[in-house]
Amino acid sequence: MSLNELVATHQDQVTVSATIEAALSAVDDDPYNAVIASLANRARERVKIVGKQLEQGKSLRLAGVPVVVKDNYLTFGAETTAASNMLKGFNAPYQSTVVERLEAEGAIMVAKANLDAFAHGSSTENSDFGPTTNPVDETRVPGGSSGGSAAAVAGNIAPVALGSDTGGSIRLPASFCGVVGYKPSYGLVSRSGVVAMASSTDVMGPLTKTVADTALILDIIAGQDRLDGTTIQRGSDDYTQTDSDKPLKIGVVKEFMGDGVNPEVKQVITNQLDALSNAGHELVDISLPSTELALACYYIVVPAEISSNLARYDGVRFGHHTDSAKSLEEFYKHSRSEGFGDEAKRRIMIGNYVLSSGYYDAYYKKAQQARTKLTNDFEAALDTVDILAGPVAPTPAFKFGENTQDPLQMYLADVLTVGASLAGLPAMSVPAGETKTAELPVGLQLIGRHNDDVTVLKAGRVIEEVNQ
Amino acid sequence: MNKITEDDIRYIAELSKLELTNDEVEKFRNELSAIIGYVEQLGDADLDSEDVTHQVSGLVNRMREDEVADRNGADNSLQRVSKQELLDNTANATNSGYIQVDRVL
Repeated sequence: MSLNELVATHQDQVTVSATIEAALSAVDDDPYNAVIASLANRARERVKIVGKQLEQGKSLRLAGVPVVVKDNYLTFGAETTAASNMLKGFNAPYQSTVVERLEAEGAIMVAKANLDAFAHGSSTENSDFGPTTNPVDETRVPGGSSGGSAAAVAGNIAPVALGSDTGGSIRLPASFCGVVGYKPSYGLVSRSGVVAMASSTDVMGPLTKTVADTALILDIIAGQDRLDGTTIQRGSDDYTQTDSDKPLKIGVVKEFMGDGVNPEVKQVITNQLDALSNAGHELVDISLPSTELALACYYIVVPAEISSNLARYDGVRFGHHTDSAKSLEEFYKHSRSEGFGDEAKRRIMIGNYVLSSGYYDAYYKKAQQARTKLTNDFEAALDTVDILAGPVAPTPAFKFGENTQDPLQMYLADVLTVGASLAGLPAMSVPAGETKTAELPVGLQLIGRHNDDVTVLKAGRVIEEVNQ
Repeated sequence: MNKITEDDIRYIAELSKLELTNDEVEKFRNELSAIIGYVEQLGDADLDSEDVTHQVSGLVNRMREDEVADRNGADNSLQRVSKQELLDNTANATNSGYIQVDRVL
Protein backbone atom coordinates (compact mmCIF):
# COMPACT_ATOMS: atom_id res chain seq x y z
CA MET A 1 0.00 0.00 0.00
CA SER A 2 1.36 3.42 -0.95
CA LEU A 3 1.42 6.28 1.55
CA ASN A 4 -1.39 7.97 -0.38
CA GLU A 5 -3.48 4.81 -0.15
CA LEU A 6 -2.72 4.47 3.56
CA VAL A 7 -3.70 8.09 4.20
CA ALA A 8 -6.97 7.53 2.31
CA THR A 9 -7.96 4.85 4.86
CA HIS A 10 -7.74 7.38 7.70
CA GLN A 11 -10.93 9.35 8.24
CA ASP A 12 -11.03 9.69 12.01
CA GLN A 13 -9.35 8.86 15.31
CA VAL A 14 -10.46 5.21 15.20
CA THR A 15 -8.87 4.49 11.83
CA VAL A 16 -5.68 6.40 12.66
CA SER A 17 -5.44 4.63 15.99
CA ALA A 18 -5.65 1.19 14.34
CA THR A 19 -2.66 1.97 12.10
CA ILE A 20 -0.59 3.51 14.88
CA GLU A 21 -1.34 0.72 17.39
CA ALA A 22 -0.23 -1.84 14.79
CA ALA A 23 3.00 0.12 14.26
CA LEU A 24 3.59 0.42 18.02
CA SER A 25 3.17 -3.36 18.35
CA ALA A 26 5.73 -3.84 15.57
CA VAL A 27 8.05 -1.47 17.45
CA ASP A 28 7.65 -3.53 20.64
CA ASP A 29 8.23 -6.81 18.76
CA ASP A 30 11.19 -5.47 16.73
CA PRO A 31 13.41 -8.53 16.13
CA TYR A 32 16.23 -6.54 14.46
CA ASN A 33 17.16 -4.03 17.17
CA ALA A 34 16.15 -1.50 14.52
CA VAL A 35 14.61 0.80 17.10
CA ILE A 36 16.11 1.87 20.42
CA ALA A 37 13.19 3.79 21.94
CA SER A 38 9.42 3.70 21.53
CA LEU A 39 7.52 6.96 21.29
CA ALA A 40 4.25 5.23 22.27
CA ASN A 41 2.95 7.78 24.76
CA ARG A 42 3.48 10.74 22.53
CA ALA A 43 2.24 8.82 19.46
CA ARG A 44 -1.07 8.11 21.27
CA GLU A 45 -1.42 11.80 22.11
CA ARG A 46 -0.77 12.62 18.47
CA VAL A 47 -3.45 10.10 17.38
CA LYS A 48 -6.01 12.15 19.30
CA ILE A 49 -4.82 15.41 17.73
CA VAL A 50 -4.67 14.05 14.18
CA GLY A 51 -8.02 12.28 14.63
CA LYS A 52 -9.64 15.53 15.73
CA GLN A 53 -8.11 17.43 12.81
CA LEU A 54 -9.51 14.85 10.37
CA GLU A 55 -12.92 14.96 12.00
CA GLN A 56 -12.88 18.74 11.55
CA GLY A 57 -12.34 18.17 7.85
CA LYS A 58 -8.69 19.18 7.75
CA SER A 59 -6.77 17.81 4.80
CA LEU A 60 -3.47 16.24 5.90
CA ARG A 61 -1.12 14.69 3.37
CA LEU A 62 0.39 12.24 5.90
CA ALA A 63 -2.60 11.74 8.22
CA GLY A 64 -1.80 8.85 10.54
CA VAL A 65 1.37 7.75 8.72
CA PRO A 66 3.72 6.04 11.22
CA VAL A 67 7.33 7.22 10.94
CA VAL A 68 10.49 5.84 12.54
CA VAL A 69 13.07 8.57 13.21
CA LYS A 70 16.83 8.10 13.32
CA ASP A 71 17.91 8.88 16.87
CA ASN A 72 20.14 11.78 15.84
CA TYR A 73 16.97 13.82 15.11
CA LEU A 74 15.75 15.81 18.11
CA THR A 75 12.23 14.64 18.99
CA PHE A 76 9.86 14.89 21.91
CA GLY A 77 8.63 11.72 23.60
CA ALA A 78 11.97 10.01 24.32
CA GLU A 79 15.63 10.80 24.81
CA THR A 80 17.69 11.81 21.79
CA THR A 81 21.01 9.99 22.10
CA ALA A 82 22.43 9.58 18.58
CA ALA A 83 22.97 5.99 19.87
CA SER A 84 25.87 7.26 21.98
CA ASN A 85 26.63 6.97 25.67
CA MET A 86 27.61 10.62 25.47
CA LEU A 87 24.00 11.73 24.96
CA LYS A 88 22.17 9.15 27.08
CA GLY A 89 19.62 11.01 29.19
CA PHE A 90 19.39 13.99 26.83
CA ASN A 91 15.85 15.31 26.46
CA ALA A 92 15.43 17.55 23.44
CA PRO A 93 13.97 20.94 24.33
CA TYR A 94 12.69 21.37 20.76
CA GLN A 95 12.14 19.15 17.71
CA SER A 96 14.02 19.05 14.43
CA THR A 97 12.46 21.00 11.56
CA VAL A 98 11.95 17.84 9.48
CA VAL A 99 9.93 16.21 12.28
CA GLU A 100 7.90 19.40 12.78
CA ARG A 101 7.08 19.58 9.06
CA LEU A 102 5.99 15.93 8.92
CA GLU A 103 3.84 16.34 12.05
CA ALA A 104 2.19 19.41 10.55
CA GLU A 105 0.91 17.09 7.78
CA GLY A 106 -0.41 14.53 10.27
CA ALA A 107 2.51 12.08 10.44
CA ILE A 108 3.03 10.30 13.76
CA MET A 109 6.52 9.45 15.05
CA VAL A 110 6.42 5.97 16.59
CA ALA A 111 10.04 5.16 17.47
CA LYS A 112 13.67 6.24 17.38
CA ALA A 113 15.92 4.22 15.07
CA ASN A 114 19.32 2.76 15.90
CA LEU A 115 22.45 4.12 14.20
CA ASP A 116 26.21 4.04 14.43
CA ALA A 117 26.93 6.34 17.39
CA PHE A 118 26.90 9.96 16.17
CA ALA A 119 26.31 8.50 12.66
CA HIS A 120 29.97 7.45 12.53
CA GLY A 121 29.99 4.16 10.69
CA SER A 122 28.84 2.05 7.77
CA SER A 123 27.31 -0.98 9.49
CA THR A 124 25.38 0.12 12.64
CA GLU A 125 27.78 -2.10 14.59
CA ASN A 126 29.16 1.05 16.22
CA SER A 127 26.02 1.71 18.27
CA ASP A 128 26.19 1.98 22.05
CA PHE A 129 22.78 0.21 22.00
CA GLY A 130 24.13 -2.88 20.18
CA PRO A 131 24.04 -3.61 16.45
CA THR A 132 20.98 -3.80 14.20
CA THR A 133 20.51 -6.93 12.09
CA ASN A 134 19.60 -6.95 8.41
CA PRO A 135 16.00 -8.18 7.95
CA VAL A 136 17.01 -9.83 4.66
CA ASP A 137 19.71 -11.96 6.33
CA GLU A 138 20.13 -11.66 10.07
CA THR A 139 23.75 -12.81 9.99
CA ARG A 140 24.61 -9.63 8.13
CA VAL A 141 24.80 -5.92 8.89
CA PRO A 142 22.09 -3.56 7.64
CA GLY A 143 24.69 -1.02 6.52
CA GLY A 144 25.03 2.35 8.18
CA SER A 145 24.86 4.69 9.65
CA SER A 146 21.05 4.79 9.15
CA GLY A 147 20.90 0.99 9.63
CA GLY A 148 18.00 1.07 12.09
CA SER A 149 15.99 3.23 9.71
CA ALA A 150 16.60 0.90 6.74
CA ALA A 151 15.83 -2.20 8.83
CA ALA A 152 12.62 -0.58 10.15
CA VAL A 153 11.36 -0.09 6.58
CA ALA A 154 12.64 -3.42 5.20
CA GLY A 155 11.27 -5.21 8.29
CA ASN A 156 7.83 -3.56 7.94
CA ILE A 157 7.92 -1.73 11.26
CA ALA A 158 6.92 1.51 9.50
CA PRO A 159 6.46 2.57 5.87
CA VAL A 160 8.71 5.61 6.33
CA ALA A 161 11.93 6.14 8.24
CA LEU A 162 14.08 9.24 8.47
CA GLY A 163 17.82 9.01 7.99
CA SER A 164 20.79 11.30 7.62
CA ASP A 165 23.49 11.03 4.96
CA THR A 166 26.94 12.56 5.38
CA GLY A 167 28.90 10.23 3.10
CA GLY A 168 26.41 7.49 2.20
CA SER A 169 24.57 6.85 5.46
CA ILE A 170 21.12 6.71 3.81
CA ARG A 171 22.11 5.12 0.48
CA LEU A 172 24.34 2.35 1.86
CA PRO A 173 21.80 0.84 4.29
CA ALA A 174 19.06 1.24 1.66
CA SER A 175 21.20 -0.80 -0.75
CA PHE A 176 22.03 -3.45 1.89
CA CYS A 177 18.39 -3.84 3.02
CA GLY A 178 16.68 -3.53 -0.37
CA VAL A 179 14.71 -0.31 0.17
CA VAL A 180 14.68 3.14 -1.44
CA GLY A 181 17.01 5.64 0.25
CA TYR A 182 17.19 9.27 -0.78
CA LYS A 183 19.91 11.84 -0.10
CA PRO A 184 18.59 15.24 -1.21
CA SER A 185 20.76 18.02 -2.64
CA TYR A 186 22.89 19.65 0.04
CA GLY A 187 20.83 22.44 1.61
CA LEU A 188 17.45 21.32 0.30
CA VAL A 189 16.38 19.88 3.67
CA SER A 190 16.92 21.64 6.98
CA ARG A 191 19.59 20.31 9.35
CA SER A 192 18.07 22.20 12.27
CA GLY A 193 17.61 19.94 15.25
CA VAL A 194 19.76 17.07 14.01
CA VAL A 195 22.94 16.16 15.90
CA ALA A 196 25.71 17.59 13.71
CA MET A 197 28.38 15.37 12.17
CA ALA A 198 29.99 17.19 9.21
CA SER A 199 28.02 20.34 8.53
CA SER A 200 29.18 20.84 4.92
CA THR A 201 27.84 17.44 3.78
CA ASP A 202 25.12 16.47 6.33
CA VAL A 203 21.73 16.03 4.59
CA MET A 204 18.45 14.66 5.95
CA GLY A 205 16.28 12.34 3.89
CA PRO A 206 13.75 9.50 3.88
CA LEU A 207 13.91 5.73 3.44
CA THR A 208 10.76 4.11 2.04
CA LYS A 209 9.57 1.15 -0.01
CA THR A 210 8.91 3.13 -3.21
CA VAL A 211 10.17 6.19 -5.04
CA ALA A 212 6.67 7.73 -5.06
CA ASP A 213 6.56 7.57 -1.24
CA THR A 214 10.02 9.15 -1.05
CA ALA A 215 8.89 11.92 -3.41
CA LEU A 216 5.90 12.68 -1.18
CA ILE A 217 8.08 12.92 1.94
CA LEU A 218 10.63 15.10 0.15
CA ASP A 219 7.86 17.40 -1.08
CA ILE A 220 6.87 18.02 2.54
CA ILE A 221 10.32 18.46 4.10
CA ALA A 222 12.15 20.32 1.31
CA GLY A 223 12.83 24.04 1.27
CA GLN A 224 14.25 26.97 3.17
CA ASP A 225 14.12 27.06 6.94
CA ARG A 226 14.93 30.17 8.95
CA LEU A 227 16.54 27.93 11.56
CA ASP A 228 19.14 26.68 9.05
CA GLY A 229 20.93 29.43 7.15
CA THR A 230 22.37 26.92 4.66
CA THR A 231 18.98 25.84 3.31
CA ILE A 232 18.26 26.64 -0.35
CA GLN A 233 15.13 27.48 -2.31
CA ARG A 234 13.30 24.47 -3.68
CA GLY A 235 14.29 23.45 -7.20
CA SER A 236 10.76 22.19 -7.87
CA ASP A 237 7.30 23.32 -6.75
CA ASP A 238 6.09 19.73 -6.69
CA TYR A 239 8.47 16.81 -6.13
CA THR A 240 5.61 14.33 -6.51
CA GLN A 241 5.41 15.00 -10.25
CA THR A 242 7.73 12.16 -11.20
CA ASP A 243 6.16 10.87 -14.43
CA SER A 244 8.61 11.22 -17.29
CA ASP A 245 7.63 11.17 -20.91
CA LYS A 246 10.97 11.03 -22.67
CA PRO A 247 13.76 8.43 -22.53
CA LEU A 248 16.62 9.11 -20.12
CA LYS A 249 20.22 9.66 -21.10
CA ILE A 250 22.07 7.75 -18.40
CA GLY A 251 25.80 8.19 -17.77
CA VAL A 252 27.36 4.95 -16.55
CA VAL A 253 30.32 5.91 -14.39
CA LYS A 254 33.31 3.83 -15.47
CA GLU A 255 35.19 4.26 -12.19
CA PHE A 256 32.18 2.93 -10.22
CA MET A 257 32.51 -0.41 -12.03
CA GLY A 258 36.21 -0.96 -11.34
CA ASP A 259 38.15 -3.95 -10.01
CA GLY A 260 37.30 -3.17 -6.39
CA VAL A 261 33.62 -3.86 -7.01
CA ASN A 262 32.34 -7.37 -6.19
CA PRO A 263 31.62 -9.24 -9.48
CA GLU A 264 28.13 -10.26 -8.37
CA VAL A 265 27.28 -6.64 -7.56
CA LYS A 266 28.62 -5.63 -10.96
CA GLN A 267 26.43 -8.29 -12.59
CA VAL A 268 23.25 -6.98 -10.94
CA ILE A 269 24.08 -3.43 -12.03
CA THR A 270 24.91 -4.53 -15.58
CA ASN A 271 21.63 -6.44 -15.82
CA GLN A 272 19.76 -3.39 -14.55
CA LEU A 273 21.42 -1.13 -17.10
CA ASP A 274 20.69 -3.63 -19.89
CA ALA A 275 17.03 -3.65 -18.87
CA LEU A 276 16.98 0.17 -19.06
CA SER A 277 18.61 0.06 -22.47
CA ASN A 278 16.06 -2.50 -23.69
CA ALA A 279 13.29 -0.21 -22.46
CA GLY A 280 14.57 2.53 -24.77
CA HIS A 281 16.82 4.57 -22.49
CA GLU A 282 20.21 5.68 -23.74
CA LEU A 283 23.36 4.54 -21.92
CA VAL A 284 26.56 6.57 -22.23
CA ASP A 285 29.96 5.69 -20.73
CA ILE A 286 31.22 8.47 -18.51
CA SER A 287 34.54 8.88 -16.76
CA LEU A 288 34.89 10.67 -13.41
CA PRO A 289 38.67 10.56 -13.05
CA SER A 290 38.75 12.23 -9.64
CA THR A 291 36.61 9.47 -8.12
CA GLU A 292 39.86 7.88 -6.90
CA LEU A 293 40.50 10.97 -4.77
CA ALA A 294 37.01 11.14 -3.29
CA LEU A 295 37.46 8.85 -0.29
CA ALA A 296 40.80 10.36 0.73
CA CYS A 297 39.27 13.83 0.41
CA TYR A 298 36.23 12.75 2.44
CA TYR A 299 38.29 11.27 5.28
CA ILE A 300 40.09 14.58 5.69
CA VAL A 301 37.21 17.04 5.31
CA VAL A 302 34.69 15.10 7.37
CA PRO A 303 36.86 14.28 10.43
CA ALA A 304 37.99 17.93 10.41
CA GLU A 305 34.36 19.02 10.69
CA ILE A 306 33.60 16.28 13.22
CA SER A 307 36.43 17.40 15.49
CA SER A 308 34.91 20.88 15.48
CA ASN A 309 31.29 19.79 15.90
CA LEU A 310 32.09 17.34 18.68
CA ALA A 311 34.05 19.97 20.61
CA ARG A 312 30.71 21.03 22.10
CA TYR A 313 30.53 17.85 24.20
CA ASP A 314 32.36 19.14 27.24
CA GLY A 315 30.12 17.58 29.90
CA VAL A 316 29.11 21.01 31.18
CA ARG A 317 25.86 21.99 29.50
CA PHE A 318 24.48 18.61 28.41
CA GLY A 319 25.61 15.07 27.76
CA HIS A 320 27.66 12.67 29.85
CA HIS A 321 29.74 14.17 32.62
CA THR A 322 32.38 12.56 34.74
CA ASP A 323 32.26 11.97 38.48
CA SER A 324 36.05 11.87 38.82
CA ALA A 325 37.66 15.21 38.15
CA LYS A 326 39.82 17.42 40.31
CA SER A 327 39.87 20.41 37.95
CA LEU A 328 37.86 21.85 35.09
CA GLU A 329 40.47 20.65 32.59
CA GLU A 330 40.20 17.11 33.97
CA PHE A 331 36.42 17.42 33.94
CA TYR A 332 36.48 18.04 30.17
CA LYS A 333 38.94 15.25 29.46
CA HIS A 334 37.31 12.62 31.64
CA SER A 335 33.80 13.49 30.45
CA ARG A 336 34.84 13.19 26.80
CA SER A 337 37.00 10.09 27.27
CA GLU A 338 34.21 8.27 29.14
CA GLY A 339 31.35 9.43 26.87
CA PHE A 340 32.83 8.96 23.41
CA GLY A 341 33.40 5.55 21.83
CA ASP A 342 36.54 4.61 19.91
CA GLU A 343 35.21 5.66 16.48
CA ALA A 344 34.29 9.16 17.64
CA LYS A 345 37.71 9.47 19.32
CA ARG A 346 39.42 8.25 16.15
CA ARG A 347 37.60 10.78 13.96
CA ILE A 348 38.13 13.65 16.40
CA MET A 349 41.85 12.89 16.47
CA ILE A 350 42.16 12.54 12.67
CA GLY A 351 40.36 15.87 12.37
CA ASN A 352 42.60 17.61 14.84
CA TYR A 353 45.67 16.08 13.19
CA VAL A 354 44.82 17.31 9.68
CA LEU A 355 43.88 20.75 11.01
CA SER A 356 46.88 21.12 13.31
CA SER A 357 49.61 23.66 12.74
CA GLY A 358 52.09 22.51 10.10
CA TYR A 359 49.77 19.92 8.57
CA TYR A 360 46.86 22.11 7.48
CA ASP A 361 48.23 22.85 3.98
CA ALA A 362 49.31 19.27 3.36
CA TYR A 363 45.95 17.75 4.28
CA TYR A 364 42.97 20.03 4.76
CA LYS A 365 43.75 22.59 2.06
CA LYS A 366 44.67 19.84 -0.38
CA ALA A 367 41.37 18.06 0.38
CA GLN A 368 39.41 21.26 -0.27
CA GLN A 369 41.17 21.56 -3.62
CA ALA A 370 40.38 17.94 -4.41
CA ARG A 371 36.77 18.69 -3.51
CA THR A 372 36.69 21.43 -6.16
CA LYS A 373 38.12 19.09 -8.79
CA LEU A 374 35.62 16.41 -7.88
CA THR A 375 32.69 18.83 -8.02
CA ASN A 376 33.83 20.17 -11.41
CA ASP A 377 34.16 16.61 -12.75
CA PHE A 378 30.60 15.81 -11.67
CA GLU A 379 29.28 19.05 -13.19
CA ALA A 380 31.02 18.41 -16.51
CA ALA A 381 29.66 14.86 -16.63
CA LEU A 382 26.14 15.98 -15.76
CA ASP A 383 26.24 18.58 -18.54
CA THR A 384 26.22 15.74 -21.06
CA VAL A 385 23.65 13.34 -19.49
CA ASP A 386 20.43 13.49 -17.44
CA ILE A 387 21.67 11.32 -14.63
CA LEU A 388 24.70 9.30 -13.49
CA ALA A 389 24.38 5.65 -12.51
CA GLY A 390 26.47 2.95 -10.84
CA PRO A 391 26.43 0.74 -7.76
CA VAL A 392 25.88 2.25 -4.29
CA ALA A 393 28.50 0.08 -2.65
CA PRO A 394 31.29 -2.24 -3.80
CA THR A 395 29.79 -5.18 -1.88
CA PRO A 396 26.40 -6.45 -0.71
CA ALA A 397 25.68 -6.54 3.04
CA PHE A 398 28.67 -8.01 4.84
CA LYS A 399 28.73 -10.26 7.92
CA PHE A 400 28.97 -8.96 11.47
CA GLY A 401 32.56 -8.39 12.57
CA GLU A 402 33.95 -8.64 9.05
CA ASN A 403 35.24 -5.05 9.01
CA THR A 404 35.24 -4.02 12.67
CA GLN A 405 38.91 -4.84 13.34
CA ASP A 406 40.14 -2.53 10.58
CA PRO A 407 38.65 0.98 10.53
CA LEU A 408 40.15 1.73 7.10
CA GLN A 409 38.46 -1.36 5.61
CA MET A 410 35.13 -0.14 7.02
CA TYR A 411 35.69 3.32 5.48
CA LEU A 412 36.08 1.69 2.04
CA ALA A 413 32.36 0.75 2.13
CA ASP A 414 31.70 4.45 1.41
CA VAL A 415 34.01 4.67 -1.60
CA LEU A 416 31.19 5.09 -4.16
CA THR A 417 28.87 7.30 -2.11
CA VAL A 418 31.16 10.02 -0.74
CA GLY A 419 31.60 11.74 -4.12
CA ALA A 420 27.99 12.93 -4.36
CA SER A 421 28.19 14.03 -0.71
CA LEU A 422 31.29 16.17 -1.22
CA ALA A 423 29.77 17.70 -4.36
CA GLY A 424 26.40 18.27 -2.63
CA LEU A 425 24.49 16.39 -5.33
CA PRO A 426 21.15 14.59 -4.94
CA ALA A 427 21.59 10.82 -4.95
CA MET A 428 19.42 7.80 -4.39
CA SER A 429 19.65 4.05 -3.91
CA VAL A 430 16.95 2.12 -5.77
CA PRO A 431 16.66 -1.68 -5.48
CA ALA A 432 18.17 -3.20 -8.63
CA GLY A 433 18.09 -6.92 -7.89
CA GLU A 434 19.85 -9.57 -5.84
CA THR A 435 23.26 -11.21 -5.94
CA LYS A 436 23.25 -14.69 -7.42
CA THR A 437 24.90 -16.71 -4.65
CA ALA A 438 23.56 -15.30 -1.39
CA GLU A 439 20.51 -13.49 -2.84
CA LEU A 440 21.38 -10.20 -1.17
CA PRO A 441 19.88 -6.91 -2.33
CA VAL A 442 21.92 -4.52 -4.45
CA GLY A 443 21.05 -0.86 -4.93
CA LEU A 444 21.58 1.16 -8.09
CA GLN A 445 22.89 4.62 -7.26
CA LEU A 446 21.50 7.55 -9.24
CA ILE A 447 23.21 10.94 -9.00
CA GLY A 448 21.77 14.17 -10.41
CA ARG A 449 22.53 17.87 -10.71
CA HIS A 450 22.49 20.06 -7.61
CA ASN A 451 18.93 21.16 -6.76
CA ASP A 452 17.54 19.10 -9.65
CA ASP A 453 16.17 16.44 -7.30
CA VAL A 454 13.08 15.90 -9.40
CA THR A 455 15.18 14.37 -12.20
CA VAL A 456 16.67 11.85 -9.77
CA LEU A 457 13.18 10.92 -8.57
CA LYS A 458 11.95 10.58 -12.15
CA ALA A 459 14.85 8.27 -12.96
CA GLY A 460 14.07 6.23 -9.85
CA ARG A 461 10.48 5.79 -11.02
CA VAL A 462 11.75 4.63 -14.42
CA ILE A 463 13.88 1.93 -12.73
CA GLU A 464 10.92 0.73 -10.66
CA GLU A 465 8.73 0.53 -13.77
CA VAL A 466 11.38 -1.39 -15.72
CA ASN A 467 11.76 -3.84 -12.82
CA GLN A 468 8.03 -4.47 -12.37
CA MET B 1 55.06 8.78 4.26
CA ASN B 2 54.60 10.77 7.41
CA LYS B 3 55.13 8.42 10.32
CA ILE B 4 52.84 9.03 13.26
CA THR B 5 54.62 8.67 16.58
CA GLU B 6 53.40 8.10 20.12
CA ASP B 7 54.19 11.72 20.86
CA ASP B 8 52.00 12.80 17.91
CA ILE B 9 49.09 10.80 19.32
CA ARG B 10 49.57 12.25 22.80
CA TYR B 11 49.69 15.78 21.33
CA ILE B 12 46.52 15.25 19.22
CA ALA B 13 44.76 13.72 22.22
CA GLU B 14 45.64 16.83 24.22
CA LEU B 15 44.23 19.06 21.44
CA SER B 16 41.14 16.83 21.42
CA LYS B 17 40.72 16.96 25.21
CA LEU B 18 40.88 13.17 25.38
CA GLU B 19 42.77 11.11 27.94
CA LEU B 20 44.26 7.89 26.54
CA THR B 21 45.78 4.87 28.25
CA ASN B 22 49.15 3.60 26.98
CA ASP B 23 47.37 0.75 25.18
CA GLU B 24 45.04 3.22 23.50
CA VAL B 25 47.96 5.36 22.40
CA GLU B 26 49.48 2.37 20.63
CA LYS B 27 46.14 1.24 19.15
CA PHE B 28 45.28 4.70 17.77
CA ARG B 29 48.86 5.15 16.54
CA ASN B 30 48.47 2.05 14.37
CA GLU B 31 44.99 2.93 13.16
CA LEU B 32 45.69 6.59 12.46
CA SER B 33 48.92 5.66 10.65
CA ALA B 34 46.91 3.47 8.27
CA ILE B 35 44.18 6.09 7.74
CA ILE B 36 46.57 9.03 7.32
CA GLY B 37 48.69 6.82 5.05
CA TYR B 38 45.62 6.27 2.89
CA VAL B 39 44.58 9.92 2.64
CA GLU B 40 48.16 10.92 1.81
CA GLN B 41 47.52 9.75 -1.76
CA LEU B 42 46.09 13.25 -2.27
CA GLY B 43 49.69 14.45 -2.05
CA ASP B 44 50.39 12.84 -5.43
CA ALA B 45 47.45 14.52 -7.16
CA ASP B 46 47.99 17.67 -9.20
CA LEU B 47 45.69 20.08 -7.41
CA ASP B 48 47.72 23.27 -7.18
CA SER B 49 45.63 25.12 -9.75
CA GLU B 50 42.32 24.27 -8.05
CA ASP B 51 40.43 26.71 -5.85
CA VAL B 52 39.43 25.53 -2.39
CA THR B 53 35.81 24.52 -1.77
CA HIS B 54 34.33 25.71 1.50
CA GLN B 55 30.71 24.98 0.66
CA VAL B 56 28.72 23.63 -2.27
CA SER B 57 25.35 25.38 -2.23
CA GLY B 58 26.66 28.70 -3.60
CA LEU B 59 24.71 30.64 -0.98
CA VAL B 60 25.95 34.04 0.09
CA ASN B 61 24.95 35.61 3.44
CA ARG B 62 21.29 35.28 4.26
CA MET B 63 20.10 38.16 6.39
CA ARG B 64 17.09 38.48 8.64
CA GLU B 65 15.69 41.26 10.76
CA ASP B 66 17.26 41.37 14.22
CA GLU B 67 14.06 41.29 16.21
CA VAL B 68 12.89 39.57 19.36
CA ALA B 69 10.67 36.66 18.41
CA ASP B 70 7.70 35.43 20.39
CA ARG B 71 8.71 32.16 22.01
CA ASN B 72 5.15 30.88 21.88
CA GLY B 73 4.62 31.96 18.32
CA ALA B 74 3.09 29.50 15.88
CA ASP B 75 6.06 29.53 13.55
CA ASN B 76 9.42 27.87 14.21
CA SER B 77 10.54 30.64 16.46
CA LEU B 78 14.25 31.03 17.07
CA GLN B 79 13.45 31.77 20.70
CA ARG B 80 11.16 28.83 21.28
CA VAL B 81 13.21 27.32 24.08
CA SER B 82 13.37 28.85 27.52
CA LYS B 83 16.59 29.14 29.46
CA GLN B 84 15.24 26.73 32.07
CA GLU B 85 14.49 24.08 29.41
CA LEU B 86 18.10 24.32 28.25
CA LEU B 87 19.40 24.08 31.80
CA ASP B 88 17.31 20.95 32.39
CA ASN B 89 19.86 18.92 30.44
CA THR B 90 22.88 19.82 32.54
CA ALA B 91 23.87 17.46 35.29
CA ASN B 92 25.97 20.20 36.84
CA ALA B 93 24.81 22.50 39.58
CA THR B 94 23.01 25.63 38.45
CA ASN B 95 22.94 28.94 40.24
CA SER B 96 20.55 31.80 39.40
CA GLY B 97 20.04 30.54 35.87
CA TYR B 98 23.74 29.86 35.22
CA ILE B 99 25.72 26.62 35.14
CA GLN B 100 28.28 26.21 37.89
CA VAL B 101 31.67 24.69 37.10
CA ASP B 102 34.98 24.34 38.89
CA ARG B 103 37.18 27.41 39.00
CA VAL B 104 38.83 28.16 35.67
CA LEU B 105 42.03 29.79 36.95
